[in-house]
Amino acid sequence: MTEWTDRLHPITIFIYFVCVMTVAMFTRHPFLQVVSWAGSLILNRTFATGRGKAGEFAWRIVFFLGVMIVNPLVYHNGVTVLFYLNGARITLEAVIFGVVMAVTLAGVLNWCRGLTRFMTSDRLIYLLGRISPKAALICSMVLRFVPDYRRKAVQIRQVQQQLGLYGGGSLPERIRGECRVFSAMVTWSFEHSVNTADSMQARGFGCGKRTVYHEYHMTCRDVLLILLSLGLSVGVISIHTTNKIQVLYYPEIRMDMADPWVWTCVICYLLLCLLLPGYCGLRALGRSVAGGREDK
Amino acid sequence: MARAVVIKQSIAVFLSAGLVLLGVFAFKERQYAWISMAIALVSVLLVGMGYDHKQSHLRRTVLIAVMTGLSVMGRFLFAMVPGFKPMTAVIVLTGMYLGGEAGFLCGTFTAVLSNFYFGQGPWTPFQMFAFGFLGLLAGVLARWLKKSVLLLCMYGVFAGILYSAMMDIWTVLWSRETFEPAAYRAAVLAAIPFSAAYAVSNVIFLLLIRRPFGRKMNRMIRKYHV
Repeated sequence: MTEWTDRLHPITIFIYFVCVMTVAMFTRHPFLQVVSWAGSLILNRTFATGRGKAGEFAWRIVFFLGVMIVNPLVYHNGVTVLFYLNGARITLEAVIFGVVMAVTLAGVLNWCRGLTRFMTSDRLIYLLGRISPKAALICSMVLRFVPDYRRKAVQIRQVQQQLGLYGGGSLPERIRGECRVFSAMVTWSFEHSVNTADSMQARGFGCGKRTVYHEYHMTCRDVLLILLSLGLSVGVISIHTTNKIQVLYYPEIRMDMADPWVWTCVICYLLLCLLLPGYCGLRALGRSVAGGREDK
Repeated sequence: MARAVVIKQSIAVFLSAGLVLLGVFAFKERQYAWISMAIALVSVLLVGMGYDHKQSHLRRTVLIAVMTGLSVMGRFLFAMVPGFKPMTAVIVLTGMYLGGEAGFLCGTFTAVLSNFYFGQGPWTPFQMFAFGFLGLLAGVLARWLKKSVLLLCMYGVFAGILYSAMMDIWTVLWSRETFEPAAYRAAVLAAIPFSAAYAVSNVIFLLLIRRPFGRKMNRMIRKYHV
């Protein structure tokens, strides 16, 4: 993962994902939704470091089927009746709306996963540090504490098991055992926090302006990516602002297919969605070519 | 320094106004979802920026991070029991003992950081706001909550139901064009098992950790002047 994106500035990544996700979350147009879903899939599939777990995948399928099915069962407006279920009519419009909603959710969740993968914790802290240094400090400390506490919790649990206090078994027993582990960890972490704070103070924390260590530089590539993503998203959103790309689902699906503006909007969004995957792909390609040349 | 605050906050206010207007004009069909999300994000940002310019002891800041870490950890410890989480209880106790602002920050960071492990989604800003609000309210009501166990339990039940109800608002705004009361009623009814689980777990955890946490917190405050 880092190979393709290590040189990108956090601001570039942030702006790109804001641009893409704004449209992905708030448009109702089925074409834009499909484009967003496909783009997010490409981003995640091509650059996924490990395969997703089968259980997670199955859970997702169930979730999306649920979203798809619930809508026509709950909403009965729409003119094209498919069939009657217990006297309630199931309409084509509601079914299609359910599918669009499921695709929207799938796309947005995929983008969120991409964002989590690209926005590594150091990038996040750099960005937060620009807005609110103290929040960035808290954030970085929590990110440090969580693995620390997990390790400590394992140690405490082992000790408790050795003492015969925590045997597992029934649910109340398990909860009581976990609470004891939690309590011990709290005491330890409080004392630890005072130590941390004092040693920070002793090293001169709070004297002068707080800076964030980083090794990011704005390059031409960053500026180009930012300009492209801003330009494309402004194009998509401003076409969206005119009523040309509105879709009505109820009572009857009505959308304009022939309007060139609709297709301009869809193509702009397609380019926007493929911007980051395309950049990463080009970079990977460039690297492999350069690497091959070095070998010779 | 004061000038920087004014500039930053006026930028935030203009930003939020711009966001709301953009939602009104660009995404007409989904402007309710847009505006509610923008407001949730901006409110979180404003509290964070406000805290930034407050003179507070470093130990207190570290303690907020510790409480946030603990509540994230709590989500890990009880990951196998659905809906049964100590997060709200920890956030409420943070608000009670360290003040509303600390409670808000603890709730917000708990939501966003634990979601890095459990899955980010479009619900994250709302979750941040909901948890933060519960911590803030606990800070406001701290005087009464510290005095009476009954009130604390009632707050636990209230917090569970309120959290669920707030997230249902998100569900409705996300899936519908406007805020439809019928859809909201359906969502609330469907989420009753979860609300019940939240409320019960809040009360149980508050009862379980109220005394030890209170003792430890008071010790920290008295001994280390946190």
